[in-house]
Amino acid sequence: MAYTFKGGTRPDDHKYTAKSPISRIKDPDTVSIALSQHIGVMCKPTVSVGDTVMVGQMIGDIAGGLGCPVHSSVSGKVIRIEEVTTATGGASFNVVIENDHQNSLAPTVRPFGKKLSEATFDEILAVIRNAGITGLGGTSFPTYAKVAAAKGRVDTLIVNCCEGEPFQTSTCRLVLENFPAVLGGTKILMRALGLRGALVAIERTRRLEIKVIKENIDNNDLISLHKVSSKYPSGSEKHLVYSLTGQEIPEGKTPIDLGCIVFNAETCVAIFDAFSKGIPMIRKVVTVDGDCISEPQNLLVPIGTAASFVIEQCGGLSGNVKKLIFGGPMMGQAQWDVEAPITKGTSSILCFSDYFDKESKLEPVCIRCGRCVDACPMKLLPLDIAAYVSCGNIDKAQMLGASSCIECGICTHVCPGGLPVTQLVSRAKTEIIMKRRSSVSDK
Amino acid sequence: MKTTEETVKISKNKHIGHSLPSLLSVSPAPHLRRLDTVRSIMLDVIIALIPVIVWSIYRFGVRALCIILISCATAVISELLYQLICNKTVRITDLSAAVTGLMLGLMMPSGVSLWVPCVGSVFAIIVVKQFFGGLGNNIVNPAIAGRVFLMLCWPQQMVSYVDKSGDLVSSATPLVELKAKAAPTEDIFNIVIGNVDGAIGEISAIAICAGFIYLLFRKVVSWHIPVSFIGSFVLISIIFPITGEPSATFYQVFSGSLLFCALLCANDCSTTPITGAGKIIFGIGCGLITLIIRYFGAYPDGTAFAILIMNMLVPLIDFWTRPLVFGHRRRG
Repeated sequence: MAYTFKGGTRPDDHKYTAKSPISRIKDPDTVSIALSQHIGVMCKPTVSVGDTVMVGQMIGDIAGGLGCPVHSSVSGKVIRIEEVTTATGGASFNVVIENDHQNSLAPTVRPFGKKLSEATFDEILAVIRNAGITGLGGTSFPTYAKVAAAKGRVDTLIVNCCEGEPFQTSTCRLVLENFPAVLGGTKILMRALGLRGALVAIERTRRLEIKVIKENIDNNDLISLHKVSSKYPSGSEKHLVYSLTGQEIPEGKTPIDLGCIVFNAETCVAIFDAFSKGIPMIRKVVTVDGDCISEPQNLLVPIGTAASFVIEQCGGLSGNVKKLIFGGPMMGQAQWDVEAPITKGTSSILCFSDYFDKESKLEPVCIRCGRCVDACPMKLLPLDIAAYVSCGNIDKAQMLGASSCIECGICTHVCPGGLPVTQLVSRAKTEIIMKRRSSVSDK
Repeated sequence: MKTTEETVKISKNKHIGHSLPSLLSVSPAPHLRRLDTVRSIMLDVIIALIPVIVWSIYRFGVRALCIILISCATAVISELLYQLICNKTVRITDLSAAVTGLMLGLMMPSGVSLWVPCVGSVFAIIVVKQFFGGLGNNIVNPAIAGRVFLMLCWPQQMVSYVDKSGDLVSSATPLVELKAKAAPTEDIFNIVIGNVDGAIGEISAIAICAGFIYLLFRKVVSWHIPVSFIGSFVLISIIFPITGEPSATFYQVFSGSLLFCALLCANDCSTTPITGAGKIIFGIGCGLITLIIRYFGAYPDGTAFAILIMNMLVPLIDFWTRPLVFGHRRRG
């Protein structure tokens, strides 16, 4: 076990909110809850305009195929169900609920009745499914589907406490403030998967968190702490599995194929909450930061809250905002609307001026310095792939393994020539997928 | 006065402050860039050349300063003119032309006529760099190619040394003496600090090393090429000393352009392999070819030719040393 991997980089971590405790935000007056907050098919609404809903009530159910239910984060009245354009350009239906500030709980919100030692796999799976839990590490893959796929196939459970993205501190804070809940969720997953132990992975530079974890797992030999390299992308599933087991996950395979399964610490907390209190996935810890935020902090935000409301709670904006980003600065999504609602996958809201991403006055250029090659965690040649994509040679880009790219953003981050390397490689990736699809449909 | 549209948007978002622009900028991730630019890298190279420049002016006086300034200015002006005439973006501000000009100037001997570095710079920038597509696309190192061009066209000019007062000196350099299988007469101490005749920037080992250490410290260059270049050269010249005397190796390394080229010139990133393994192959190749030219060739110093030859092998080396993609298996 190397506890590290080749490539990666250490960006300035900008974790200014690392000492800011998670505080609950004031309840918003309206929430706009997207029916598509996960990988898979959009939910079908189970409420209609005019209905009264309660906190934790299911408002969208699985519409067939891969899906994940969504729940109301406030109590109140459904005032409209509208079609919106998401930041990625896709369409989504959002349920807009007017908050009556009563906070009345839905009857379905009740703790799991039985002891964990008596719970069966199907019961645990049903709780996870009904709570609408998705992977909170960034992919938003429905957790129940992942657990179902792993049944009987895994022998290593990894709890991912790493947080490689600069600025983000939400996972760190959760580990510091609520590690017993992380452990609780881990134990539920161990029970479901029939495992006797688990590995907790965290970057070796996080001294405070390591101390907290050690105190909590002191008398427990089954759950062990593993310190991994603090290079970005330390939180990447592929690299975490490699760091801990020395196995490279082949392209197109998942960790489950190697007998490993990785859960984010925050996902574990969500599973624990669903069991102990019956609360589904209706709140999210969000780091609000960036050089244009007056008071950066960590907030527990009801899902569906508009970004502008959250920013207002942080003292509003200062400086000239150029970008509003949901997620980390390396992989996050730039939004075009300040009213965009928080979803299950939003781990941070960042407001940047042009300080962090200065546009070069000169046209971008590749000087073949090889910094992207040294930093690429997938051991690709980003500069060559980018050059082939620029001249339209997708076949050659595919030959160089462009489809293995995890789009971590390192190559653009380190490029001194200002070339959008990641963006070019991900274009190659998209075109390769489209080509595969069309060749499948031809057959 | 604000336009109506902006006012509407801002009044709508009054609660989050007045600095919200009328439009947010949307772009794919990542949103965080390192502050390094091509310009900052080139600036670092220029800073690394300062000890060498200072020493050359100290040793050869105003004449050295003239050579460096003329060479540098010609390089920048020819890049500017080429880009203007061909209607390309003028990018002399990235300082890459200035670096080429400086390097070329520092490789000139003290007694060279001032028009020679001019011609060299024009050739380096126009033919070697711009004809191949400009910054990042040139296949050989422009400064080295410019120097080789001058060595082939005006060989007498490239070995004309003068002292500070401007009088021609005709002392044989250690490399020429070694070529004639004679023991060099120059004092070892003078060679290390650079108190000898030679190309104005190449004489002082101490100044060159200082510049290289700065570049290494700033992570502009890696250790691979210099170590494998000089390492392979030293190793073989110790095993097979040219005069049969082991001390010949010392003179081989510290005289001529080996140190300057290996530590400061050969690291030009556009014309070297991108992986560490490739860089080591490149360095070993340079070391061997230099040695072969010095032992068997017509020229006493073959460093520039060696780098030029290896530059042309870079695409092949890059192909051989392609790293295996994460999660892929090597075929066959």
